[in-house]
Amino acid sequence: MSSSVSKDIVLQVSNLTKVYGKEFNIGGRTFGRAVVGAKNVSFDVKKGEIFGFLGPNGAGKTTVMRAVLDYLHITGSVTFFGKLDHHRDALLIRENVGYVPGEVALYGNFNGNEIIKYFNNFRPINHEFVKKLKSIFRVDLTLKIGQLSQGNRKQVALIVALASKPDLLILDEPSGGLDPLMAANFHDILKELAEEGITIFISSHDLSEVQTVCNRIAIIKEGEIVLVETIEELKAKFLQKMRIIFSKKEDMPTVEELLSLSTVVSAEKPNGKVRTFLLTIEEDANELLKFVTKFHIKRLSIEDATIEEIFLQYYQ
Amino acid sequence: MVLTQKEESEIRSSHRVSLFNLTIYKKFLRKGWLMAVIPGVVMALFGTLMILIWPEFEEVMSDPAFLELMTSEIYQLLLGGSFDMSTFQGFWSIELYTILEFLMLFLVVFIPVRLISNEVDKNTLDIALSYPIPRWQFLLQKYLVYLTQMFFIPVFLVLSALLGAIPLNETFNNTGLILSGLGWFVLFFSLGAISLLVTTLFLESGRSLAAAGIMVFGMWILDRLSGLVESTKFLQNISIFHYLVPRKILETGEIPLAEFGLVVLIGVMALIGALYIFNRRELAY
Repeated sequence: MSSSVSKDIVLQVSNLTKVYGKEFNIGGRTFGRAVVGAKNVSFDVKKGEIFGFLGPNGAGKTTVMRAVLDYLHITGSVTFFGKLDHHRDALLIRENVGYVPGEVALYGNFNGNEIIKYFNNFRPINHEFVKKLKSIFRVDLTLKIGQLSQGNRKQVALIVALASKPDLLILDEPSGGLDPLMAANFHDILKELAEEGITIFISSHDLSEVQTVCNRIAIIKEGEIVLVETIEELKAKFLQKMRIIFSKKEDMPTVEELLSLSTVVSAEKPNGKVRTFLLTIEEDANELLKFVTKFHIKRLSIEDATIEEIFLQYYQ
Repeated sequence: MVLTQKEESEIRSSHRVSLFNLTIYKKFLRKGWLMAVIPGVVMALFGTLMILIWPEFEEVMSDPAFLELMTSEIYQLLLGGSFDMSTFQGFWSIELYTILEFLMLFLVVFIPVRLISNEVDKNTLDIALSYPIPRWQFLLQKYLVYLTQMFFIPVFLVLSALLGAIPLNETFNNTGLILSGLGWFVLFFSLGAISLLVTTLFLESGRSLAAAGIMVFGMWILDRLSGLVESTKFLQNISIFHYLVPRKILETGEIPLAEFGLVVLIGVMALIGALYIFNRRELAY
């Protein structure tokens, strides 16, 4: 790793590759099986940002997160806080990194308060903030973990990870199991923490969550990063949806005419609506607007594609 | 913006790692205190029962026909040697130590294996190890909990023997009794460390239990059965049970230092191996 690393970069991942299992070739026959969990994954997370890691189940999100935390042996490099190597300096890093795994599992015979106290011995908690977290999450911390539902266990794990206000939070699908109200409260907490300068690296397959909280996202597909962009850049770069309602059916273009324009990706008429067109267009709408304004327009609206639509474009 | 050496050292010094934090040991011992008490108390109660029934059995034990039966080679092999049951101490130890040996075979496999495999099965390691505690220390402290639990078994046993003998005006070879207690503890330590080492290799409980069981039960069977035939007696040498026999220590009042040292050494090596492997291995499961 180069010694010239930006101070603003809290986590830098370079060419991270993880292969599970091994294949042997003996006498032309292959034995064993190697599965690529992550391939040449590179990205960085800047101080104070909420960085989303997006991909469906099995895309490699958890592999990358566990590799970053030095649970897996990898090739490539992972650097925290500008200079700390994820393997060599693992203990130093853990003083200031909170983690919530996708499948939360805490000691079943401890109650919530005991869990918080137990982990406080390793990374001191911020008592004021814990009070606030307790009031927001409203999980009964006097109950044993084994008596709690999966959603409530997730809440305890989030309290524990956030309690010390570490410099970096690594959260693997943190809102899975939370009800919508709780998830919204949790998103507010994340935004507050980011405003305080805490960096958050969050994986999710909940696209609306990513759109709500993240500043930047990376999309991972079959173990490879296919895109790293800010939410705004991403939306600007991708398709937009246009809905046009013409005033008269005698004075409007045909679907074929619209499709002949270079910026129009798709054009259709919803069932039963003679004067309405739904178009998917590329970034530059000028050509289309020049064309449609030749006709008498009753109503026109343009919307950005949602993260869901962008995501699906990558995955289809 | 580039980090200077000073800024780098500031980042490092702001991250302080406590190298000796016994939180894990204390917490898990508190949660597992029953395991520290129950086996020892059960053995102590059983030992007291043996002491109390001794007056009824004294005559039977001195019966030449019964003593003749005890000289059977197979019986001696199963017990791990030739022992005199006609004395108070012999009667007590032959019953208690045989039961404790079978109990030990299960405890030294199940408890050390489950120290880690249970965490792997329940997925609790991911959060536990995301805190600044060295993995080897995490494992060592959990193993110390096991050792503490096992420590109470010989302690309760010895205390119950010493106290139980007083009303009957019987005596033990006190030095032998205490040294045999030490022998038991060393066996718990070394066999437990072997099971722990096996667990760090496999992590998952099914395979770990099977492998540790084969190791421990295999050594016990080798020690007992290979002695039946002269040509296979050498196999006893690869069993820990062959080197340290608490019943013999009780009888002779002496601990064989070389053998004792060997068993301790095997345990220490296995423990160091387990800590090293767990510290370095990847947690892919």
